[in-house]
Amino acid sequence: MRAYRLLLRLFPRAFRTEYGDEMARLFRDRLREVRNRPLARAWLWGLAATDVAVHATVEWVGVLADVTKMILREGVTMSAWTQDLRLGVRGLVRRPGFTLAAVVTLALGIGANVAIFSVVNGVLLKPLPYPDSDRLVGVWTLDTRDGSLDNSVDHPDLRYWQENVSGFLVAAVSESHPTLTGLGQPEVIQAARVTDGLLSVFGLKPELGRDIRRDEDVKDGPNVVVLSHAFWKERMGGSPDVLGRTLTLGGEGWEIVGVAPEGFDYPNGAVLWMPQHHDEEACGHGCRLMSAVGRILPGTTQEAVQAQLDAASAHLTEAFPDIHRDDGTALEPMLGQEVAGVRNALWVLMGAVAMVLLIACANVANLLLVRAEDRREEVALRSTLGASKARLARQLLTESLLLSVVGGAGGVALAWWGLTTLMAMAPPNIPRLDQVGLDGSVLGFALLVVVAVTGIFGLVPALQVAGASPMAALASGRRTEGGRHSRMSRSVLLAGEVALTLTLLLGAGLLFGTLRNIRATDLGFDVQRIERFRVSAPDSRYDTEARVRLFRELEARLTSLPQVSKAGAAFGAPLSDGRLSTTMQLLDRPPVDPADESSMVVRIATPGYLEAAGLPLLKGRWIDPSDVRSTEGVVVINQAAVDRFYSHVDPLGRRFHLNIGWGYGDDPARTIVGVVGNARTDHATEPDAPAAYLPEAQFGASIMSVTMRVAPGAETALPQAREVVHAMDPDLAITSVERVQDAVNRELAPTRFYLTLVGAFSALALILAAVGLYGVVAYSVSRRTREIGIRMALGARGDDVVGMVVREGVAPAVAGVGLGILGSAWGGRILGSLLYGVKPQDPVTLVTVTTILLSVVLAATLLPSLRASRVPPASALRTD
Amino acid sequence: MWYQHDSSINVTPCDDFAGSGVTSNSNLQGFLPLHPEAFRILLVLRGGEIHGYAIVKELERDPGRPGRVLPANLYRRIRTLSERGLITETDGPDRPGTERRRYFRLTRLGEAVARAEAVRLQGLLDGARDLLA
Repeated sequence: MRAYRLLLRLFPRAFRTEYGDEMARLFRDRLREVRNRPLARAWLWGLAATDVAVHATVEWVGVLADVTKMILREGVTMSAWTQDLRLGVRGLVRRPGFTLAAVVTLALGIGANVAIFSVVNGVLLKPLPYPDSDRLVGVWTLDTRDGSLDNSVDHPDLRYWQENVSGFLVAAVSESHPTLTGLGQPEVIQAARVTDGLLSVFGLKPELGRDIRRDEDVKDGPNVVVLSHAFWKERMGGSPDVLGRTLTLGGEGWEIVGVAPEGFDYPNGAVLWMPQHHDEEACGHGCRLMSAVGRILPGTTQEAVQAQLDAASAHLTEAFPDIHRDDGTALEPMLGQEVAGVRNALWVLMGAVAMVLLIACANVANLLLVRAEDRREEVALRSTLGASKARLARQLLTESLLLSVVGGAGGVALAWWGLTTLMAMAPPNIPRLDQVGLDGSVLGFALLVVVAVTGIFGLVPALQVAGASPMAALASGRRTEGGRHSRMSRSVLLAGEVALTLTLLLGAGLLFGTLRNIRATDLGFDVQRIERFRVSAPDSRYDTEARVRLFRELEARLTSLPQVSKAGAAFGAPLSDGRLSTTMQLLDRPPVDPADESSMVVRIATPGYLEAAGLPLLKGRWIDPSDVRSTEGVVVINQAAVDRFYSHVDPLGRRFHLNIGWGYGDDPARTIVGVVGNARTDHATEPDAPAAYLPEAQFGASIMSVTMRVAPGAETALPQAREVVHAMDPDLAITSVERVQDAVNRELAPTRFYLTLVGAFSALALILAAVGLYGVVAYSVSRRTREIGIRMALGARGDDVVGMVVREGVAPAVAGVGLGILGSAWGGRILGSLLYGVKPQDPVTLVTVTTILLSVVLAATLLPSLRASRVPPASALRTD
Repeated sequence: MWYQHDSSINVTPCDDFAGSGVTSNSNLQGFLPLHPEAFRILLVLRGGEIHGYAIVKELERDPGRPGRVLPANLYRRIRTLSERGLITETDGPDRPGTERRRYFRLTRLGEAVARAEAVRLQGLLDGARDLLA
């Protein structure tokens, strides 16, 4: 029956006082009916619990509605509000300690939320800066075998869509990095090769001149270029007679035909747009080198467009069964596509700060409950003197609102400061950071948080007043520990705080493990004292032979520098952008359909690259200076390729043919002469893909990452290397100059960023929870001084008292840990995609953070309990 | 059915609610329609003053009533009926030596409202008579 009585505590006090006894009696009688039937008893218990839960909820909603109604009926006159405010301010000023604690707690919680929300808002929520940007979509190629998506399309497909899909504008781009000369130092430019119609897809019109036309996107089409607004203003002086002038790009003249509107820089910060000069023969069906973007025109829907695209796919599959057999098309919202990589992480951060805020609220609610306890008499007195319950509830709510408004203002100030720090720390892989700021919607969010926070921590004491009976409060006397009800509320709040804190700590622990794992990962190449830069030899001035000579010469000259011990060059160097992959035919096996061919990552390297980069040679030999155009085609593969294609045979001497061509035209069949170790090339967390290293002298790549091992005793070799390049060709542009260590740090940056934030939030949570726990236990001790005095006078020892008090704080904490472990099972799943090498349920992390948390909990409760045990009984008994 | 009701309804002002100005049939309409469960409780209480458990037993004797009567449900309904003045609490029979229970009885207003509800239901049934024929 005690259990049923406990259940009845869910009801508002008024109802419970009136009918609680009768309900318990009735339930007891009902239980007697089924005395010896355990199943029926259990069933009855279940029914009764549901009955209580449902009706208690309805009762509380009723109380809430009554209070609201009362407040509305009394009318909120200006003078009443001012009076409430005046009373509220006076009340808060009179207790500066309480006020400061509450305001600081709230400011921290709200500040963290506002700061992270402004990032979420800027990166994820704000629309893209184009007209009707919600109608923009990316067009992806869908592999119908496994549903995987690839954001590349081929030119013939694009043309087919442009001509056959109605209500849909579509264009395609591929990034390009031509060298700009004739405008100061030679410089590699972020540009794009585009089809016609890119600006209209984005709903934009050229600022000057025109966009690229369809008749220009053909093989040997005219060299025309559209400038970005920024390039036009900064590099061309912003003069309107720029049209018709010529830029030298890759050694060729390009006529300026237009200027894009301000702010347009798609894709990826492009400053120039040049036609694709599409060559159907060289890159036709299946040659997917562009990414497509489309606009769904008003009057049609994404579904309608998708249906037409499906029909187009079916048509293309029928016309080109070899190539398009498994191809479909999918539309992805443009914004989602841009931020896909960070969406999950940002929501995790938002969840983390929301937890911090909940903890802050729980703390303030605790403070208010304690305070309400202190003020029971005052409230009861005012109530008996004629103040209505509505009035009292309103008064309490006003105080809460004041607290959260002041806390909110402090929070916005904190966020403003924190955001600057946050932006400086943010890893480069977060897109759209320029959109982040404290703007109107962020301030609106702050306001919403203030109201919500008031609702969370302010409503409980207000409702308690509304549901309380004044006589009971007056009769309850003074120096007791407070109602059982409010003690229970405080314990529940504490347990909740501890649970949330544990979840956050666990998140921080898992991210810490992830960072440690990434650091400890063997990347497969050397990191220390390796420097590199990128050189691109423009087609217009270098034919293939000249390029091969250029890189060979460069390698030789760099190696002879005293600051350099080894030098080499490669396309597809680790952790640098640029990845080339192609399909291949294994010549030791029967041929397969083109659609079923395996794919291989292609890397181009010079003889010196192996030692310069520190790749381990596992078998056979590396690329040799004697591997040239006139000798047999050779290739070195990585271990991943061996595992995939030659796991049961010796790969050396076997041959394959890559479906690729560059400087020297179609690549010949190649013989495997060596095997090197895997190098984590795309990301430190991603294993290497099967890859083939081709000799530059047999291939003729134009863009190479020149890699140097700095000689012992030298600081850097970069200035000398620059001089060497300049001496060889003053028009060669050097880009992406970096230490390999920087590239590795860049890989660690996101995890480090998330870890720093989640770590800071969990530390904050831990402090708040500890302060909350300390406060509750200390308060309880101060209220029970008399009781403790009596116990000690009657012979209780200090340890007994300590134990008693500690139990009171530790019990809810242990319950909270249990809850937190349950909660973290859910939280870990969300965090999953950010982790590397640790499972969300990692037991070591769990045990570690639980130990930390429990130690803090113990410390926070031990302090006040020790004080309690030193209370001299005589003085304790004298407290009234 | 285990209860009977008069077909001729005669509502008169009565002292329970005369003061509040409830004097005519039309004023009773404000109470209607009654929730079926509330109506059942009023009918049970016509039999005299009884306590909660007895109300439950009486209610559950009705085979047309689904499910069990649970405490929170019952007492919230009793509270509503008390607040509206349809039932009132009494001291109950004096039985020394037994546990003190709270008894309830119908007020005259409650009786009038129950009658009015019965008339309303009768009218409803009359309209649907052909369904029963």
